Amino acid sequence: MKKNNDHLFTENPSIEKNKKILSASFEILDQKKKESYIFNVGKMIAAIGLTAIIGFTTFQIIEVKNNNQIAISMAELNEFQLDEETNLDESIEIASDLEFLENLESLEELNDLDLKEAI
Amino acid sequence: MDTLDDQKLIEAINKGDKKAFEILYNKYSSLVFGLSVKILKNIPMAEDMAQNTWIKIATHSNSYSPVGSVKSWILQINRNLILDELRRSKKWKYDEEIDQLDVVDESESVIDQLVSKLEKQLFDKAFSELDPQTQLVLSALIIEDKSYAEIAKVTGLTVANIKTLVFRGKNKMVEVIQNEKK
Repeated sequence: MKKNNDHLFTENPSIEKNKKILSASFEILDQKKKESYIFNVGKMIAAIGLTAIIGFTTFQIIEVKNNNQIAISMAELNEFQLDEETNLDESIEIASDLEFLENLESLEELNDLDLKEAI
Repeated sequence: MDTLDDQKLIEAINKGDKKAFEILYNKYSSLVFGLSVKILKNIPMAEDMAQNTWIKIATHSNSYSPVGSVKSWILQINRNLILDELRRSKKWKYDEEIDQLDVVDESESVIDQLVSKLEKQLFDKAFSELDPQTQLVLSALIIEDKSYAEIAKVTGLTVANIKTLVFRGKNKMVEVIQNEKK
């Protein structure tokens, strides 16, 4: 184990010099602290900005997706309504056909009756 | 435990915590200044060196790697600044001739054994007689227990060069101590 021989070299600088050295060093440390603060604030602003951009982009993507879904739903609804109208037309047509047939049957009956009376 | 505490202090300093910096400063400022003044032998210059070291620590605290101790990291910053100053003032001379000498394989703990028995005053006297290169190399051995390879990497000297500096440094210190004791 090496013996500590530091005491052989130690000499104390004057009190004035001590003060001067500490004062000059403290100025550097203040500057360092300020730079570190500016750097950290800058880093924080950048982080907030990035989060906002990511959030906004995500929101836009969701909104576009929702709009697309709404558009798809509207298209489906329109298609459904169209089908409903077609079905209604068809129903009307069928109903008309049925009425025609019924009328036709009545006419035939009438004709039969007229014929019988004539006889 | 001490190392863990130091690492927590560095983490707090990274966030701009002044109190943590003051605790670290109070713990190592005398060692940083002491090392600077011993090698540079000039108090105002050593004070400036210490100030530059602490400003570097405050500025680059986030470059500390938890692989080594905080103390070593601080002294490494200090040592690099001292080295720059020695090179700038042409006091750092690479003596190529040293590499040509027969290297005596001194154990790294020899210096430790020598200085651990010394009084601070006697150590100061012996240490002050050494050249800056030897002082820098010996301080890394005495304070941080660095290996020759690690010191070579930091100083740009060769391992052989460092071994020779240690050998010469030890002999010089022993010589001064013996003269002082007479």
